Amino acid sequence: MHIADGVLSTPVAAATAAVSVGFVAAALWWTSRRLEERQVPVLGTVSAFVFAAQMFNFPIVGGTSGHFMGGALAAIVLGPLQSVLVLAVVLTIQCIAFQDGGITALGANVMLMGVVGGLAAWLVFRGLKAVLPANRAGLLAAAAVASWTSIVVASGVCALLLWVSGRFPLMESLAAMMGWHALIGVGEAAITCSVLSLMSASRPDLIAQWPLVREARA
Amino acid sequence: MNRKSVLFVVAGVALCLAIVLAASFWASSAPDGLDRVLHDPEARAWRPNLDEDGKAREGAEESEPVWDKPLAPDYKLELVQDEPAQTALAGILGVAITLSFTLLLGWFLRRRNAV
Repeated sequence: MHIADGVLSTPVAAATAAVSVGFVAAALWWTSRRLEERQVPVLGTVSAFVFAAQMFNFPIVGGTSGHFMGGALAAIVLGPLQSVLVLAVVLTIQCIAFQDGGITALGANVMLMGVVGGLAAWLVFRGLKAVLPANRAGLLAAAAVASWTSIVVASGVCALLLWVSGRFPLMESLAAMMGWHALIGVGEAAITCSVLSLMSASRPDLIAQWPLVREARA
Repeated sequence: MNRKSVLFVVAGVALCLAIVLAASFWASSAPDGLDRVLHDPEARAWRPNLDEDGKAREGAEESEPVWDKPLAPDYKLELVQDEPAQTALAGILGVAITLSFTLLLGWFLRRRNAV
């Protein structure tokens, strides 16, 4: 979902950049208050994983591919604003070093994948965690739905940006973007749950949103 | 970092490198969801940025990238000849940059125990 230069209108690019600058500033402040020393290696490793996994486009149907986004994984393992930071760093490196995503659309890309994706995932995960059984299966189910939702909501907001930029009519834009990303979201859920399963088996204490260990540790 | 943290990072980085290697051979080159929507040939009827012949109206297509000094455009580091190796090198470089930058950032941002 990396937007290139020239896709968005100038006002949309400027407004989304302003939103992203605000959220990144808030994320830096919040992370500096919350990040525990033992989470520093987690921040580094999750960010590296998001970068690596975003390179692996998997085919879906009809000559289209999708790739992992990572907002849900980062939000569940580290926290919602921490995930903004992870995605902002990864997207900036992708843009500057690898020309993936336009530099004039970097604000929009950070807003969609970091802010919208991360916060949507976190809200859904917290909501489902409260109602689903508090065991491994319940948590993984919540993570799966949160991952899928993060992709579909981010693609919906992306569709709105394309509409406001005058590229597509509203309904067609929403239908096309959310339709493809409803499929890509299944891949996102599978990857997020695989990583959470691995971490849950090896270092569950490093998943901030995993209540089982919190009790075990206490 | 204690020994368990180092082990976690090493295992994580090994996984990242495995993914990068796999991606350099097997990643799909088909357009992703957004690119598909932006360039969908069947969707031209409702694209206000295309004229009746399906040609882009002026100023309605993606521009050339504004930033034109990337290290490895399109994840291909052209130090070597063959393409999977170019992608693998770019990916290893990207993982290294991302990991070192975020570890440093986290080290500066971490909550100090001393008040």
